[in-house]
Amino acid sequence: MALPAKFLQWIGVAAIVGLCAAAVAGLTIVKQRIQVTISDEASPDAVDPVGLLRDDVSTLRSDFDRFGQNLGRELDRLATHLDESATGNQRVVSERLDRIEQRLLRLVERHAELAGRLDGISSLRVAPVTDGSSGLAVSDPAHARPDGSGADAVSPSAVSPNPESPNPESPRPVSPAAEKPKRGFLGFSLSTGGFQFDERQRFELIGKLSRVGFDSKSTLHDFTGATSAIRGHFEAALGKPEGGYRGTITVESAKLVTGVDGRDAEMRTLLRVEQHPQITFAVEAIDDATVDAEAMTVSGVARGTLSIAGKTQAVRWPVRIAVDSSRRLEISGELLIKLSDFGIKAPNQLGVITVEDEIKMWVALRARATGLARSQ
Amino acid sequence: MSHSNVALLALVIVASCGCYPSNVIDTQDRQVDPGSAAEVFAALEWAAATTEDLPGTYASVLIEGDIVSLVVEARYIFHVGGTYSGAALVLSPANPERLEYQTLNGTWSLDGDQLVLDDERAVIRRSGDFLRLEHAEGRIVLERYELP
Repeated sequence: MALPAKFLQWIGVAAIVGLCAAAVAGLTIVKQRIQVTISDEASPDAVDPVGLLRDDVSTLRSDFDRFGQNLGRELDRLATHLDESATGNQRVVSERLDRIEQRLLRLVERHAELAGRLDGISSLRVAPVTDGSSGLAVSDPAHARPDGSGADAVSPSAVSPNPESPNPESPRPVSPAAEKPKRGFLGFSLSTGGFQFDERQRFELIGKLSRVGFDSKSTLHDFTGATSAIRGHFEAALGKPEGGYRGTITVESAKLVTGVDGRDAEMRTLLRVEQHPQITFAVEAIDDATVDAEAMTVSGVARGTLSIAGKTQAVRWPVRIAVDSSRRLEISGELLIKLSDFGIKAPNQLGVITVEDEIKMWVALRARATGLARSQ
Repeated sequence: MSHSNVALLALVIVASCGCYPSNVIDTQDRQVDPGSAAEVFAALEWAAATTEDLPGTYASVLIEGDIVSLVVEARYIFHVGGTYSGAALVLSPANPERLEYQTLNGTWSLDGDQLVLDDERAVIRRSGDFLRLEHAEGRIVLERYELP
């Protein structure tokens, strides 16, 4: 009984060892054949690598498009700047060309002046000075204009030999009214206009340097009414009055003052300033003109119409026109008129204080040339 | 109204009006005095200008000569270093019936008694805050002013 028991024990042990060996061998074999993969559960929304690639391509394309747009904008701005720069350069070049042109014209002008002086010298040598009645004026170099325009009537003291003139009294236009080159002053480009004694120009009254008034006589004392509330303009060729004068002078009648408030109030009532706020003189011509080109004066009778208190009368107003040192016109003159001619009853206080029907109107005007007249 | 009252009233009127003296303006006084700026500036003592005198801003206070009917006003600013900018209200060369502003920019320098503005020259004299520029076309007096 003891032997079978031991035998069984050995068989049991051998079986166990055999099983273990079989297990190890099996494990070894299976280990080589089996690959274990650990992963999440399969998802229907799993990322598609191709989709990712498309997204990347799409992003790149959008970036490229944005880059292209930005590049286009930058190129546009660059083009704009280039255009502006080109325009600026063109303007600068144009200005420089203008200035060069002005310089050339000045040179031409000075050349003409020199030629004129040479001609004058030649004439003087040919025609010797006799006396003042010969019609030959001797030059005054101190007044000659270096720019050549001094040879015209603006500077009448320039050489004006005129041996051919049949009438020494008549002024002679010294220079032709040919087209003149541009003028300049310290780089500024100036008009060939400005004050020209012989050329037809437009003149504007300078109100603050002008005065219009009247002198009146009464049984008590004489008095003056005056105002600087004046405006107006006219066109004329001073040296050629036959060319006609045309213009209007307007005075604000309510601004006439005599220095006495009560008298001013009565005057405004008589002038009916509410209905007729302006006194106007429309000049049509200068008759019987006497022109002194050397002194730059014109005397004559301004023919036109005078309107006061709504009534208009044709008048002939003696005037004198001179030129002051600033090339402004000084216009002066006086005219006797009757108040009754304009429907104005001369003031009368109880038959004791009476104002004469006849008053003396006067003007003391200044005007400046504002350019060549557009129309004749 | 009785005759005595009328006479009394007339007397009062005559007496009251008699208080007013004659105010007739003499013929030679009718013209408005344009001012004596020219005389005032002529009386100033003018001296040579130096490079240090010029920098500043100036406006015209007197314009004389042939340009007077062409130039209404002028302003200049002279910079340290020799550049300048100028503006003038002038009769338009293109449209002689209108005034226009012209502007200039360039360089200035002094050459003896002459101010050289680019290639234009004018005799320059100084008296206090005033500069006098004499050019073939006319004369201009500029007064220095402070920018606001």
